[in-house]
Amino acid sequence: MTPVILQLLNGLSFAALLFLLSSGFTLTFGLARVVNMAHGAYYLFGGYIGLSVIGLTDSFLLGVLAGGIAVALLNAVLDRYLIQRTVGQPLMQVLLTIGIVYVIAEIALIVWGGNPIRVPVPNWARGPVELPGGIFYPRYRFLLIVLGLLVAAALWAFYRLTPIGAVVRAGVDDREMVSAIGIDIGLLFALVFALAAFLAGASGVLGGAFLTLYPHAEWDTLILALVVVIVGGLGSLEGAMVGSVIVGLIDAFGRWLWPEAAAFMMFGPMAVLLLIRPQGLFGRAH
Amino acid sequence: MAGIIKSLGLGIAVLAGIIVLFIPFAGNPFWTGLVAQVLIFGLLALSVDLLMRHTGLFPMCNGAFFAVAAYTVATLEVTHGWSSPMAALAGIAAAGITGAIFGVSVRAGGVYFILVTLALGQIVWGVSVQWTWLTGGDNGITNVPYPSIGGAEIESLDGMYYFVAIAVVLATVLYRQIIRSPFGLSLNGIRDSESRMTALGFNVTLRKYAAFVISSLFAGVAGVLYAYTNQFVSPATASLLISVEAALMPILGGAGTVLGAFIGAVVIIGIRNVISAFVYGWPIVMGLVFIVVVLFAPKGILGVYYRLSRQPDPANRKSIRPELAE
Repeated sequence: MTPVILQLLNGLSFAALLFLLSSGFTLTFGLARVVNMAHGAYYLFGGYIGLSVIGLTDSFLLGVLAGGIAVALLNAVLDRYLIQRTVGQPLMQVLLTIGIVYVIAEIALIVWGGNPIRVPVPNWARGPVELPGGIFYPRYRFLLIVLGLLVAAALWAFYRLTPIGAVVRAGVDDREMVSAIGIDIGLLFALVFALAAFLAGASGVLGGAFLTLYPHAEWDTLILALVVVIVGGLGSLEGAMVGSVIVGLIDAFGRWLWPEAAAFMMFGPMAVLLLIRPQGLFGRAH
Repeated sequence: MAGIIKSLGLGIAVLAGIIVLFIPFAGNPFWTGLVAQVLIFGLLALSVDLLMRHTGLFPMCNGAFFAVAAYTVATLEVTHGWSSPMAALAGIAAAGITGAIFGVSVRAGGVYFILVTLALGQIVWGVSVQWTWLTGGDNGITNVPYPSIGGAEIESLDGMYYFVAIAVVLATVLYRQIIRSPFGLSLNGIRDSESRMTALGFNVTLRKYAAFVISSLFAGVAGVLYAYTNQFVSPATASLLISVEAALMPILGGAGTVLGAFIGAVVIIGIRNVISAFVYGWPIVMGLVFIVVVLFAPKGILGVYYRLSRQPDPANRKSIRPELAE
C-alpha cells in the first residue's frame, strides 16, 4: 500500500506545481483571450531570478517573491508593447510569444549557463515528514502540496466569492458589457496578468527546487501547462485544478508502472478527451 | 523606386533559380547540403500552408509527421535492410497514419487546435527519446544510406541533391493541383465561412480531417528526403522547434503562393545554419525574426516586396482571415 500512497503524493505535489503554473495561463486566456506561449519561459526565468536572489540573500521566500515579481514586471512590459498588438489574432499571438520564448531562453542560457541547476531547498523544508501510518515523505514536496491547496483555495475564493472576482468572471463572459457599465477593464486585465505572471515566475523557483532549472525547460513546462488546460478546459480555473490533478497523477503512476511511456503518457487523456469533449472538462466552445 | 524594387525582385528570382539548378557545381558540400535543406523544409512549410492558408487551421505538429517519416525510413533502411522505394513509401505512410490519429485535433476549433497540435507533436518527441530500442534514443540512428532505386544507386551528395530537387518540384506540382482542385477550393470555402459551407451541404469536419491527413503526407515526404539527405536522425528531428519554425515559414515568406513557403525556409534555415556560425546567441535573432514578422510584416517578405514594387499582392486576393471562429 505504501508505494501507492507515495506515488499518490508524488502525483499531487507535481499537480500542485502544475496548478500554480497553469492557473495563470488559463485565467489570462479566459479574461483577455491572450494565448501566451512564453508561460514556460516565464517559469524558467522566474526560477533563475529566484535562484540568484537566494544566492544573494540566503532566503528561499525572498527568492520565490523575487522570481514572481520579476516575471510580473517583465510580462507587464511585454504585454503592453508587444502582446497587446496581436489581440484577436491567435496565430500571430502564438508566433509572437514563441519569438519571446526564444529570446528569454537564450538570455537565460547566456546568463545562467547550460547545466541543470537545482534551486536550494531551505533548511526548514529539508528532510522527511512523517505522515499518519508511518509513511515518510520529503518535507519539501509535502509543503508544496499544502501550498498548492492554499493557493487553489485562495484563487477560487477570490474568483467566486469576492466582488473583484465577480467582475473578472463577468469579463470572461462579456468584456464589452463590463466596460460599458463603467468598470476599468484595463486595470482588471493588468491585475490578472500580473497575478498570472507572478504565479508562473514563483512556480519556477518552487519547481526548480525539485525538477531543476535547465535549458529547454521553457518548452517542457509550456507543454505541461498546455496539457493541463486542454484537459481542464481553456479559461476555466476549476478546469486548471482538475486538469493538474489528472496530469499529475497520470505522470506519477505512469513513471512507476510504465516508465517506458512516461514522456508521453499524459497525452493519453488529452487525446481521449478530444474525441468525447473537445473543449475540455470545464471549457466552453470558443 | 517601384521599378527598381521590381527588377531587384526579378534578379533575385533568377539568381535563386540558378542556385537551385547549379549549386552542386560550386563544389562546396556545405552549400549544396544547405540548399537541399531549404528545399526540404520549404516542402514542410508547404504542408503547413495547406492547413494554414487554405483551410484556416494553424497546425503546430507538422514537425512530428516529418520526424515519424524520417525515423521510419532510417530504421527500415539501417536496421531492417528494406529497399529504398519500400522504405520511403513506408515512411510517408507512417506519417499519414500519425496524421490520421492526430487528426482528432480538427474537432477542436480555433486556439484549441493550435495548442492541441503543439502538445500532440510532443508525443513523437517522447517516443524518439524514450523508446531506445526503436529510435536509438539520444544517439539516434546513424549511417542512413543514400537511396537506391531499382539498382541505380545514388552515390554522392550531388546526386542526392538532384534527387531532392526533383522530388520537391514534383511534390510542389502535386500540391498546386490539390489546392486548385474542387476539394482544395472547398477548403478555402471552409476557411472563409464554416457555417456557409455546412449550409451548402459540405461535411466540413471530414474535409478538414482530409486536409490534415494530406498535410501530414506532404510533411512525411519532406521527412523521408531529410533522412536520406542528412543520413542521421535524432530526437532533434522531432523537436517542437521544427514544428513552430515550419509554422512561421509560410507567414515569413508571405503571399498566397508556394513561393512564400520556400522564401520562409531560406530565412529560417539561413539563421539556423549560417547566422549561427557567426552570431553568439543566434536564437535571439530567430526570436526577433518571429516578433518582427508578426508586428511589422504580417504579410511576409513577398508582401513587403509587392507593396514596395506596387504590384497587386496575391495574398490580398485570398488573404487568410486573421480572426478565428470563436
